Amino acid sequence: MNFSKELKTGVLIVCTIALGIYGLNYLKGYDLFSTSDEYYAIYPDANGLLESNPILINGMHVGKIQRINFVDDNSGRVIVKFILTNTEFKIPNDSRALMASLDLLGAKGIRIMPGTSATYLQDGDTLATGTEDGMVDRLSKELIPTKQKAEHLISSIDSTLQQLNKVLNGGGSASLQQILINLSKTTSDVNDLLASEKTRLNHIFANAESITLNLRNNQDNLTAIMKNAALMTDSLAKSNLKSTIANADKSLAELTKTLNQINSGKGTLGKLIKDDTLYNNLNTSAKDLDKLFIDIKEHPSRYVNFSIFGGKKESK
Amino acid sequence: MSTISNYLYNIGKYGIFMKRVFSKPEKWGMYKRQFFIEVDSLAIGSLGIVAFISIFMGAVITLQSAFGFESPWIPLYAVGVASRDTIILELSPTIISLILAGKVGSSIASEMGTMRVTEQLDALEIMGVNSAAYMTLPKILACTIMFPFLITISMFLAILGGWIFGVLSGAVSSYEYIYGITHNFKVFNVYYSLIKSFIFAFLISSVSSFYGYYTKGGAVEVAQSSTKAVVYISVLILVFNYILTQLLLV
Repeated sequence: MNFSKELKTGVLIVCTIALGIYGLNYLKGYDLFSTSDEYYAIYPDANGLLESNPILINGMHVGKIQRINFVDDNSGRVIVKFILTNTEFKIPNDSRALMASLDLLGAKGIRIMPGTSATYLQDGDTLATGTEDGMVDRLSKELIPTKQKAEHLISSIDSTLQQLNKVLNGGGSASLQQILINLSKTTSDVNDLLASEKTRLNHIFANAESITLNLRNNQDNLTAIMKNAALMTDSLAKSNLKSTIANADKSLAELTKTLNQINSGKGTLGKLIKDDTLYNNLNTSAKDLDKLFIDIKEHPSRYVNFSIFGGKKESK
Repeated sequence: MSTISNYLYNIGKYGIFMKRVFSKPEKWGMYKRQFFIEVDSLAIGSLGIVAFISIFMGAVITLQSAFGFESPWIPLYAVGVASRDTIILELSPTIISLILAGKVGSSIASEMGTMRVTEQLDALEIMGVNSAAYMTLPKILACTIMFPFLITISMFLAILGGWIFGVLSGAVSSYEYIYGITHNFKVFNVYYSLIKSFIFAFLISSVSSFYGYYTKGGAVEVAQSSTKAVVYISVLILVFNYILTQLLLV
């Protein structure tokens, strides 16, 4: 069968126009070849709801929004016309059509909360409406106080930084630099010291280690010592220390009295210390004795008379 | 300097050629017959390759989008949105026009070139026919009228191909793809793309006719002018694609 070129062209044009109209309507959310029920819902605010957004019943996708218009009464409310392609579930007439956020990107949809009534909605009916807080709505509700707090925080950080800037600009910077230079010098000195005294430090640590080791080894002994000390202090505490001290105190008072008497030159001891008569007498006696001894040395014969060969002179 | 003046010379020559093409026809009936011949050969003859390329282009763009959006943060219906917008805005009008530039442009240029070198155009002139108009106007009309239809078919088939292969390969579910392609759809994108394809069709038919009409010499020159035509059409399509996008979308 041979088609004329005109016929082929005509067929192409008509088919394409039909295809284009069907495709455009499909993309806009109308499916020309499927039967569906239409329902309406009236909201005070469309709130990002778009044509072809989904209609869900218990999470099941049953239809889409076909058109959103203002209500005729110029109240600013919007009437949403939506079609249900899946009509297996009959919607009770006390169901509510809740506007809901479906995902994180903020895609909206209508969630139909089925009621319990035994009578069902008919094609073309209008549903009761409501809104459901989506994740984003909830987040933004919680976010606003947090944001205010963050603003406070940021402003206080800002003022702090301004103060810091003031300090740094008013010569604080130079001081800080000086401090850092000093610190660097100090640390390098410490480094030098550590390097030069490394062996000694090592010794010190070794000694300390051995000391602690000894301490640990002698732990039992130390415990015994401590016990003894405790015992001693115990017995000290128990002993009649107070009266002893009181007696000692009394004795010392007596002693002081005696010493005072001695100092004032009373009694024998006092005379001995304060009166130099005895000393003078003794001194004179010693001088005399000295003279006597000198005399004896020079003239022994005056006092000692002896003869190896017998006593002739005595007889004289 | 010489290249620029050469370009300007060619643009001027093209303008004069267009004036001749759009002068009042001697006889409408002759043009009508010629028009349907051209529609048959240029548009209906390209239907197969357009359909084939569109289906696979749609399939590939869908699979690539699904591959690229493998993130828990991006809902999978974004694959449908991305495929639909890419196909409608760019792939169908521009890529298919480039394919048609290769197919139709080279055929027009070589046909006209051969007619020129075999002196058939001169014979038409002697018969008192405006050869430029008689040979070119039906082609331009056929292309500018029929290519938007081809692009419409291409868009339809590309989105359909994306759905078929996306669902068959399991990259995206049927519901998500369909939700995606109907999500936030802007009808103007289709008009924009049809306006683009109209302009591209005019460029393809007129520039290739121009290069074919002014062929001089023999078979080698016919090949050269056909090649030149395809190259210049491709460049012009890309340049006008940018200009039109900037004018219409931004």
